[in-house]
Amino acid sequence: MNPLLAGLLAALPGAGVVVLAGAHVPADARLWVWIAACGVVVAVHPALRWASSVALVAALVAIILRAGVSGLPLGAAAVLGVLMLVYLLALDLAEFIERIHGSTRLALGWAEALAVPVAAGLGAGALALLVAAVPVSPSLPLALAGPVAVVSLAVIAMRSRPAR
Amino acid sequence: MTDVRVPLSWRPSRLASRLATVGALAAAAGLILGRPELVVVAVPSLALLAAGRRGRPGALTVTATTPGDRYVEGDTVDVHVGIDPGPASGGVRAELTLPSTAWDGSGMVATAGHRQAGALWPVRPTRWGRRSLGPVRLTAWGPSRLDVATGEVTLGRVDVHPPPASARHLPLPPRLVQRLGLHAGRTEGAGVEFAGVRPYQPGDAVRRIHWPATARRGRLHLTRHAVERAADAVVVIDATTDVAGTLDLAVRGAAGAAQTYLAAGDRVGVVALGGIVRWLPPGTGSRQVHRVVETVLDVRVDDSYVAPDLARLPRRALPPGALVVAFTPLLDPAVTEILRDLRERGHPTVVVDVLRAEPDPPPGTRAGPEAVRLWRLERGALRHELAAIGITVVPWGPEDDAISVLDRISVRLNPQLAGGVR
Repeated sequence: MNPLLAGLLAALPGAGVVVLAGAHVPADARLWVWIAACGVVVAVHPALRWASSVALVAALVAIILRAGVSGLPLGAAAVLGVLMLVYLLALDLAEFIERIHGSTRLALGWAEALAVPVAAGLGAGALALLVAAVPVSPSLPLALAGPVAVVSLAVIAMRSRPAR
Repeated sequence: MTDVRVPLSWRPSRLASRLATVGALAAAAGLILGRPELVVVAVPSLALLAAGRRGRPGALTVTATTPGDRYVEGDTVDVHVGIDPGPASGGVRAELTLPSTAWDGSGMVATAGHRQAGALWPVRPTRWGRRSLGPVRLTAWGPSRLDVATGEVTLGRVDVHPPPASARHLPLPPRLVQRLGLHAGRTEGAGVEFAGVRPYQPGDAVRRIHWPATARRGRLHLTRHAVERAADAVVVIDATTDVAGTLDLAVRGAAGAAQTYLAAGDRVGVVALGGIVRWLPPGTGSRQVHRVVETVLDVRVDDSYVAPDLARLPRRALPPGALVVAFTPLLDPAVTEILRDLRERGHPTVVVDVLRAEPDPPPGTRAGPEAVRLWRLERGALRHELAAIGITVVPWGPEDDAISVLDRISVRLNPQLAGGVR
């Protein structure tokens, strides 16, 4: 697969991050959305993907801070976190399969290697969504408690799983 | 077949670095600023990092096979590569990068998970020599792709021979050795080459009567045949210097000359003059072709303060009366002395001047062109001096190859060949 094409496909989840963040940002902070969008676009080039990740997360922090006193809904934040994870995974997949024939077989093997940790990451995101649905005011200890529990369980499960 | 076990030393992969950066930045910002949304954003990335397995293989095995280990320039070498990533692996990528000065082609193969990878990489050697197949750059990922290891491995060596040459004419010494061969000698013998007619004498074979001459002269005449003899040739390679590809030309010419003589049933030896004097005693047959090429492939410019010297050669490396064909740029006075010495020992000697480039004076200097002119005069004087003691000097022209150079030497040594008569 052509490296630029692989980078273009990898940028799609990043574009989702930008769109979701843009939907919640106040009108006076739109500049950060554009910066985040630029961060995603530069990820198309293989040499700029690291800079892209950093730019995107920095823009994300700025967007959340500018979202106002009420803050970003926790549900939206959880989806942003999952989209960010998918974006980073897509970048890894793009780097792995670019310039190599037989991309489908490689993508399947890649998915197999990452299935369990990705499930843990998505589970943590899902738990954050559940926490968001609880009708209590969002607080830092509550936001931390659920994910920490999921991560701990995932670590214990992985340590006890024998290697193939 | 080459089985190479490549030890791996691990470090965090790009994926792990990105996950850690995103997670740490967002979580730190959330904790410092007291914003739970940022912590929630960081959670999936940190969860993946924490859940990743760490059971990494200590080494992986690369298997490489080639159909043979001897090739000629321009041949296709099919490299079969297999990679066993071991029981726990997030993927392996192998990339063959060969130096473009000697090879044409590259290869890449990858596998993910614990599957074995196999590939066929057709590559083409473009320059003679003993060539390594590699390096192959290996990248291996840990079970959850959060760790990466890199390594390099060489898949073995192949010998790349110069292309075979077969000249139309062979430069021959004036005296052939007393051994059966394919060259017509000057004396009468039991060959097939016509050498004239002579009057019949009692005891001569009747079936050799030359009837046209007998009819013309009115008495019996007999057909004379030339004796068929072999030649001894020693190919000398000047490895004291390598200026503008002179060593490459010398090796190509030497290999071509040796193969042509051996194809005609002659005995051929090799002497390489350098810091280390390498030699191969004259021999015949197809085995000698391989021996010659192996000797030629070992020739290189050695850094040495020891001047080449014939005294270090055993007597059997230079049989008496052997034709010496020397491929040299005539830049080292020690080599010129050796050529004189060879001629004085009675060896018919031919020198192929493989220096095709001239000194390039710095632009804008007035003395530069004059210096080049003096250099040309010196070279001309040297050639004249060698010719005066009976050494034939033939320049290797820009359009020449090993075959055309041998043909030109033959014409110089045997002017009757100039008309194309074999």
